[in-house]
Amino acid sequence: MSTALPFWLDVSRWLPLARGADRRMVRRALAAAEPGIREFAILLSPAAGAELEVLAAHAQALTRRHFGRTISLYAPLYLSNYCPAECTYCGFASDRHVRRHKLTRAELDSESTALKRLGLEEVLLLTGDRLATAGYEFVRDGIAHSASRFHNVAAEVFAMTEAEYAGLAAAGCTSVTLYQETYDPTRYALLHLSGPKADYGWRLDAPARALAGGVRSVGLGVLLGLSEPVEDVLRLFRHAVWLRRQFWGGGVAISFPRLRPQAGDYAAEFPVSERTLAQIVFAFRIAMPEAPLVLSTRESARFRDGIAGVGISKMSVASRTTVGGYAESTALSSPQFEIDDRRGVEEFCAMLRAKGLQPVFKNWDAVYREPQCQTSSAST
Amino acid sequence: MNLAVNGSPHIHQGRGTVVELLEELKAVPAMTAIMINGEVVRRSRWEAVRLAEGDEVELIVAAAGG
Amino acid sequence: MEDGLRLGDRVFRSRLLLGTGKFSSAEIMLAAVRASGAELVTVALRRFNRERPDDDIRGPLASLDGIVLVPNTSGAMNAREAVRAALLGREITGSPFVKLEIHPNPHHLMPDPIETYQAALTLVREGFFVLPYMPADPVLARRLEDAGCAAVMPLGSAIGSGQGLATFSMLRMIIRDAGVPVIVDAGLRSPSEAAAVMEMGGEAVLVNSAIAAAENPALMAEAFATAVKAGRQARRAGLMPRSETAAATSPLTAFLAGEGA
Repeated sequence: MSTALPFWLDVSRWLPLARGADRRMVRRALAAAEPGIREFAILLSPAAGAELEVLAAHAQALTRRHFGRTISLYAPLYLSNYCPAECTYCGFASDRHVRRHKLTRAELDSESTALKRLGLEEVLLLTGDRLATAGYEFVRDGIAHSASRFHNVAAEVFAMTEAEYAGLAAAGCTSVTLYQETYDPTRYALLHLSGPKADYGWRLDAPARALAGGVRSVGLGVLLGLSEPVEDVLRLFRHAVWLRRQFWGGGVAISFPRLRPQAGDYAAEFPVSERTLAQIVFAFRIAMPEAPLVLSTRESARFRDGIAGVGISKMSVASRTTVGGYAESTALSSPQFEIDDRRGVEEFCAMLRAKGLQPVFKNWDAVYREPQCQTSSAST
Repeated sequence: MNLAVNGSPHIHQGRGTVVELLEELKAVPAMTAIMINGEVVRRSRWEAVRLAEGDEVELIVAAAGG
Repeated sequence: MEDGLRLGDRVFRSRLLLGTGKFSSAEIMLAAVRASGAELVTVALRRFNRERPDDDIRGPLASLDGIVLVPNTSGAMNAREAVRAALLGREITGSPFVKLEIHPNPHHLMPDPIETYQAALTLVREGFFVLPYMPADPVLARRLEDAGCAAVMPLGSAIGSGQGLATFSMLRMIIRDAGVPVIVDAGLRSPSEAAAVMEMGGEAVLVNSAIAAAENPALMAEAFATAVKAGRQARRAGLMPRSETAAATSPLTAFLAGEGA
């Protein structure tokens, strides 16, 4: 589609800082009243990495200031794992022989019931790439149904048009999550071999289309491990800042998916350690103090326990990356990736409370939603 | 013709063009703006406009302030 | 031009704007304008008075090179009146700039956000470079920017209140999120306050009373000009941050030691 790359992708000016900032610059960056891309780059540097404890203290203070001592909780819910795309790193890629399933309305209903019984009020609906049988209408109907059960319904699905996003918003979608996976166009082409997702520019523009279509907030991210992380993360920061400029009423959240081994083969070409992941989280919290920062159950219980409230303000819990699996004792498909933290809601919340953090299952967004979202769709 | 200029009665001796009225009142055309019957009349239309009996005219200039 | 102030399609060297009101005489006002180096000067609109031709300010100001007259719609109580004032002002000055000022309450002279926004929409459509005087509200600032204003002019404190930068924290928010220049207007009492505005990222300041009411307006105007330059230079040079000590009570990163496999 569009061949001209946006100006904000060029982060070459800040790479030297991210690679070579010294301790004095790190201290100044931490004290900056209005941190921007410059400070963010400095906080990614090895010198900043040597002061991780100091960064953590700042991250914790800022998380407390903007989010109090709370952690927002949600659960992912896969609507379908049929997928036409060939993404080399994904467990659901079209060329993999995995069990596939698409939830029927009845199954979605019982999955939702199971999640609600666990106390969850925010759900993230996922699908594979666009298919005629699992396309816009399928997603929209899933959202409409979920909006009648959950306070917040987010969607992590294929890139859509602005009109389609407007349809999702009208159906009750409060947030759209879409990871660029990597902002490096060359790496992107090597990793996304076919399918709609192979269009780099179309995907890059999707969060802006979502906000323009009336979705209240978007979630961005890169899949750490796919490309050189510093440059990717600098571009992610710039993307977030640009979206906030363009859509001052829209929220932007950042997630930190990191390649972990899956039942299979894709090994990260640029493996990212836990220390680096933590540093990236802290840098975002310091440079974007009011942005929600999200961590999934890909990470270990130990890591999640450590970083909850220290930068991270939102976490998934009791996750399944299979289609189905909350209600049924056996999942209806293969998993997309391995979950590391398998704790249930009760156990996880007990950990949070022991850390002095209050789990929050809902915010009151839903109360203010337009009336049309509250009526559940009549179609099957 | 009888006009009201800046709220006061004024008898205009000329043909009713803006420039003639301004000359009559010793206002500098380049530094004056004019409203006729509540409408701002742009400089480009001054040639074309003719004042009529009973018109209410406001002449505005820049002054110290603001 | 290096580090020029961009307003509309123009670029200006000076970041100090002056109001021409409240001076004791036209001569003193002119001396102050000259001493300030201001290139943008706001003027009021008055009825022409044949008995008092000296009231007309365009003549004297024409003697100063490179000055852009910016009509101020002050006196207008609502959007309709302000639009009419702007149209009249454009006829006089020939320039597309207008300072949009609507304050219906004569006691505190606070700008009316709703009428100001309505007027801005109309005036932008008419091709004006609108400089709206506004309460220091960050959301309103974005709305006015989205409406197409060439800048936003949040107040430091109410006109005549002498409260200086009472809205400091709001101004920071406005400046942080603005895509157009932020020009702080009203309430600036001293050159150090003007410098403070520039240090925090304001693009310019508009000063009137503090200069007009000074013992020596021309000297005060020069002082303000110096302060604006100093504040801007400090901003560009990169201010030393206030020291902040982060005291970690217990090690927050101990959990990372467990990374094994």
